[in-house]
Amino acid sequence: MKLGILLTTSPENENTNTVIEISKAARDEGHDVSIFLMYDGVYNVNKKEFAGLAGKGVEIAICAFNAEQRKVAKVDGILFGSQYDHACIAGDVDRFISFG
Amino acid sequence: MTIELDLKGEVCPYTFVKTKLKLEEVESGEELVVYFDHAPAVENVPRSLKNEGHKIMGIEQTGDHLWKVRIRKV
Repeated sequence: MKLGILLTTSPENENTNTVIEISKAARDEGHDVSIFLMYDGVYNVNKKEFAGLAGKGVEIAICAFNAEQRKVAKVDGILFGSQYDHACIAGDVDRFISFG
Repeated sequence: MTIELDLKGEVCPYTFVKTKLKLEEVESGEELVVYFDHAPAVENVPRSLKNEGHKIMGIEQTGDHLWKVRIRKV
């Protein structure tokens, strides 16, 4: 199964840990996981545990415009994309969960 | 024939949406030239259009925070 996740809250919010644990569990079960970050969700790329998901086979894309507004620097392995990428994820996955 | 689109002052997602809408007016094989002043759009709009099958003929920085992107419609 392909799972898509939208995260719009900053790392202080409990959503971050929920997304990390759901993503790890889904990957352990062999599912594909794609995450899109926007608004304050872009700050999650600075959280080591979250960014580490990219090394576990989770595809992470973020809104480059929101990142630029918040002065979030580029991180290797994470696509600094656009709402087009968000739309592609939403259109491609079997299940889509939004955390905001 | 080349059609031009000035998207200076526009940001994501309007840069992609307006480019895509303009491409609907362009015949297959014709070129659309788009002007951007928003750096993330210069990376993301061409990548998204390539994903849709269009060809990026060139990306040129023509000034401080000003770019010209040439797109050939598939």
